[in-house]
Amino acid sequence: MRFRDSKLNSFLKNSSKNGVFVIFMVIVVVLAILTEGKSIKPSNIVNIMMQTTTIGLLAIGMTMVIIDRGIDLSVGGVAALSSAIGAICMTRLGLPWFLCVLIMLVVGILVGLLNGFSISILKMPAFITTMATLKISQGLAHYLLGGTTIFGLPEVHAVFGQGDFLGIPVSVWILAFFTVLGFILLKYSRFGRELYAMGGNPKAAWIAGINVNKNRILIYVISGFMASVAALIITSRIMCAQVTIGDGSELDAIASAVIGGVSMAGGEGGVLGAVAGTFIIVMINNGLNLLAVSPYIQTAIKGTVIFVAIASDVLRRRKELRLKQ
Amino acid sequence: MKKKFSILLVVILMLSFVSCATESTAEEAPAAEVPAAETAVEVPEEAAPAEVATDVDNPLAGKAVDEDGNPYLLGYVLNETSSGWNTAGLGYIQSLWERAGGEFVSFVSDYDLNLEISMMDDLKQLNPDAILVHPSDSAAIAPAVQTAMDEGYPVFAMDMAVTGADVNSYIHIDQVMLGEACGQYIADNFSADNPAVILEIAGGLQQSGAQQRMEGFHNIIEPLDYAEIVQTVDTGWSSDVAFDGIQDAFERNDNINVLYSHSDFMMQGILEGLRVKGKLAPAGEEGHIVLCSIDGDPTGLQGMRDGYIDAIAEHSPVLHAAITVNVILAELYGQPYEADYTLPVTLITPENVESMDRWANLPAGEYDTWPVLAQDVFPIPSR
Repeated sequence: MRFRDSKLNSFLKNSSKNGVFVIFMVIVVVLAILTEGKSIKPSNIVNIMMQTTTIGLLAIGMTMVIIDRGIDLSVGGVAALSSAIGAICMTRLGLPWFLCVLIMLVVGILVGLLNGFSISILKMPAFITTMATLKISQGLAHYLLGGTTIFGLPEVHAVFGQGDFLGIPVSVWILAFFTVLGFILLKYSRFGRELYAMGGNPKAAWIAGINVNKNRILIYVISGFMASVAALIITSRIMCAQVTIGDGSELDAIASAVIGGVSMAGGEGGVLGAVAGTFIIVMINNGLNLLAVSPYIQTAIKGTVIFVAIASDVLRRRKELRLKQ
Repeated sequence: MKKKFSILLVVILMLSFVSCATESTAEEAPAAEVPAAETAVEVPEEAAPAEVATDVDNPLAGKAVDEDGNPYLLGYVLNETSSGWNTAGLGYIQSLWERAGGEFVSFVSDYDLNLEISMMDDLKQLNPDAILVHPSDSAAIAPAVQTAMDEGYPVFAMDMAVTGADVNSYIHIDQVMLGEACGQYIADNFSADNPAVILEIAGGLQQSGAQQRMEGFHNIIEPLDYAEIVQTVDTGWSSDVAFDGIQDAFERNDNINVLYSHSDFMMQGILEGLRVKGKLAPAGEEGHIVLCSIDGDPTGLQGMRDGYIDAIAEHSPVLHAAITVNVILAELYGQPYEADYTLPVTLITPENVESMDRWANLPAGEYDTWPVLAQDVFPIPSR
């Protein structure tokens, strides 16, 4: 049986690009078998989609940052700070809900702006800068919440995390919207082309007249903004604000992007892969829960699967590179 | 020019964050003084017993000063201030100590073991009269505690033990008993005709507190032939993870009719998770899922008032704080006290949820208005 000109053949030929989708399919099939079909029940698929939204949103922003050879460790802190300020506005200050939502988004933009300026204009290293803003935002969230849980958010706020439209959760629509937007931005806009050029060879990009600083600031603003959108969904799901919101999510977002084919060396990858990477992480979590695997071993299993997924992808790319040479 | 402008912008952004934070907190909780970050240190400029006028209002007045009228300094090293429990405990101890005329300083490690050990050294530089610890890890803190004790500092542990060093006194509740209280509630309310299918929402299972709450619950449930724990979800004390765990667990087993949560801290995620799954019904309505939890924080009490939570094993920071302060005073007066105080477990139910004995019914953050708790485990010592 030959697939020389078939779509399947073309898909396999481009396995380096599509590797994440192959891994995705393998995990879907394996989990479907192990859970006796529970993992592919429509209700569980909706459940997985819902769980993908917050990390998926962070991964979209993170993808752009990593394509530019950067890193944004502050996203978890931004989510916590945005949640805390939003919840305080909604409950203690009694501001109109819509205004509070806007304020939450502005918080993310401001932290992103701080990151972007520090990294592009002041030439501060991204790793340390975003680690510092992670601490600043987490610390402020901690201070504002004072160790308490703020609950009693207005019911309308549940729309993002608990509402649905045409049978699909609103949060999934939000993720889909930003995924498409991110895809178009990277694939078809001037900003996207410039971003890949910056990631591929920053010096050449600068010589070619690309406004590297402006683009870099924009990237971190987008990342901060996505973190505050994620905060919107998290607070809407659990209808409260806690300092633990977003804790460690930056690492999940980075893992999602890398699993999805975004190269840490920059200049490579896209949001579709990153979102698929998020699905992989969430499916592993979900599968382990459906299988009632002991919580003591779950983290190690998750880590192993992520390790194997990335290693197999890297090895396949290396093999392809050798074949090309 | 560009560079100067950007530095200016960065500074403005930072200042706006700080001023925003200061304004809203100041408005809402004027009495609460919670350390902002892991290395926060607070040394009050002056002790503040002045707000309490008489000995009747303030039975602690003048208790934390020596014969010459110098205030005793109490140093407190604790693992986190993310939870309502720890925040309330810290705020109340500080308030009691200051009402007694003493000075107070606190260090928060945010579960950084290295930092916590360094904090013990930092604290000794202030030459405190007593040291109180609520460690991240019982064993890891032990060498630092032992060193401090060898140097002559009295050291007390609250809520979490120090294993490997004999602290002066350990004031705590038995975490295993908290789990057992919930287990017993389930044992008493289910039977062979009405078996319990249980989902356990665990805290951070890498921590001994969560492990002990698990152990206690399992001790009671596992021998029963009419109750089964079908799944345990490790949330790492996160509401968001609890929300997801609820979704996954009900996908696997739709017959779950009991939830056991290691803490009210995850309660909001649990309740919203049940709501999204169409499983949230108050007690007395069809489809109600029996819910037992631990701590008794404001989220938990509200959940009980709404009819969603049936029982809570109370873990009171107020009781811990009141006894701890009295025991430390006894040490400073050279009076005898026990090496271990294990506090009783109270089960909160709808019948007693409104009692002012519930720590979460006290006005949040306003520690100076909280009464000096009268308890008979270890009353305020006389000099």
